[in-house]
Amino acid sequence: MKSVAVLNCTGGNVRSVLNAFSIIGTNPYLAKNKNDLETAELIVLPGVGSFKTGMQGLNSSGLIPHLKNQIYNEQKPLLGICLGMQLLCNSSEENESIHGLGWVDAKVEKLNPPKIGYPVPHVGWDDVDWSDDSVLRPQKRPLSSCFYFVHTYAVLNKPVDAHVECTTDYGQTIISGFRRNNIYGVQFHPEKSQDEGLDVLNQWISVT
Amino acid sequence: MLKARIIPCLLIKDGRCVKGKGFKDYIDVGSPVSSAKIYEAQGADELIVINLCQETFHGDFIDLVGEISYECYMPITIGGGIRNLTDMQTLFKNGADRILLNTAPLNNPNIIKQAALEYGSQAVVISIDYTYRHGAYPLVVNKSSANSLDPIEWALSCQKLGAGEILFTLVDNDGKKNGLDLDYIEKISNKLTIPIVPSGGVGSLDDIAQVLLRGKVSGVGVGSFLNFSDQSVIKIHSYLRQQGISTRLS
Repeated sequence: MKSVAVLNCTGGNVRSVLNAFSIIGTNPYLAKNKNDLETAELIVLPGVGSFKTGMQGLNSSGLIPHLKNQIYNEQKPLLGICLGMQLLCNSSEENESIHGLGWVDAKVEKLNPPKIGYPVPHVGWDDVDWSDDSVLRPQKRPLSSCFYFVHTYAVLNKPVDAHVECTTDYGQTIISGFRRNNIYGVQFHPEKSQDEGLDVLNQWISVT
Repeated sequence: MLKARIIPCLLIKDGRCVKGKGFKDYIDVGSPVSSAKIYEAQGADELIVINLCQETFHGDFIDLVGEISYECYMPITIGGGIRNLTDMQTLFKNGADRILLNTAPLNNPNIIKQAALEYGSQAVVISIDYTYRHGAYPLVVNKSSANSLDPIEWALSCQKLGAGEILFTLVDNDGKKNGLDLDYIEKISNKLTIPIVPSGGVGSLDDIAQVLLRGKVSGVGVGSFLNFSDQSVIKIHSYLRQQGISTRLS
């Protein structure tokens, strides 16, 4: 049973993330300190809230250097979910003065779809188009492609140094998933997307 | 393409699901956790859970939120009696994905701004109840009495303060299955840029289709229509697809 450390310093509904990883047969737990990260095989960075509060939470936890060590030196897989994906980037239009982790060379921008027919925030179940070289596309059920989104900001341009896992068309193209080596990010909420979402988490577990 | 959301609304009183008419005469309609599981199995796109024991924000309700969140892998919006950011934090910690505010912002609109700064607009849903009982013009209802606010004006203020979605409920039609307030909902949609979800009065599959097509709303809140008929989320989704509306396959 793989051990999954879930960071708990970036706000939001961490409980659902723990539940989802339990049901797919892993052993998830909250990562409170350095040791919790060291004993994990995989690490998840969830998050709900603003870019600023997310980064403040990470900074004040004191875990960033240890997280970096686990990701860059120990090569452990990291999955950022929603705000977690955004925190992996350099910066966000939401709070221009705040530095992100900068582990993926991308900028987070405010959604700016056509005025009519595309309310912002982008809320609800939407399709993703998996890239041909996607590794998160569930092999078990490759048609799984509709997930729950709830966000105002997103990565809108292809990151310089990462593969695009999937995109979503919301009157403009949203980079709804990316991957850079052992670092993964999804803008949607797999833990809230019923069976299709669990398929993606399963796939992440199986390829990492 | 973004899917139309069918959102069952669970009203909770003393640990049980209840349903009333016009926000009164509540009767017991079952166990909250079982109801939530059934709606999830039917492919509901989201769940709204509202605590009706608003005077106290007590532990039993928080436990129930945790239990529903543990059983369901779909998005859950929780409201009823939220007074401040501490209450919101408690709900997020126990499984809420979004919070629903109604009375608190009427007393202190700035709470919307605070919540949006802390949790992001996408997590802040405002519930606006309104009535026509005082004449031709709709008025916002607060704790069962109408005040002098125009629902659209209030909604625009909420949007400006950072609300990420608005749930509009016509109290007069609540629980009566006599149709949604289509013309007014269409008017609201044309004024707001954030998602709109109407509820109160769904009585037929076509009510839902019409408000999605003409009212251009993001989803529909459904209560009695599911409680007191042989309808299901599966049937609703299927009907909507026949009308050319994009839904999830449930």
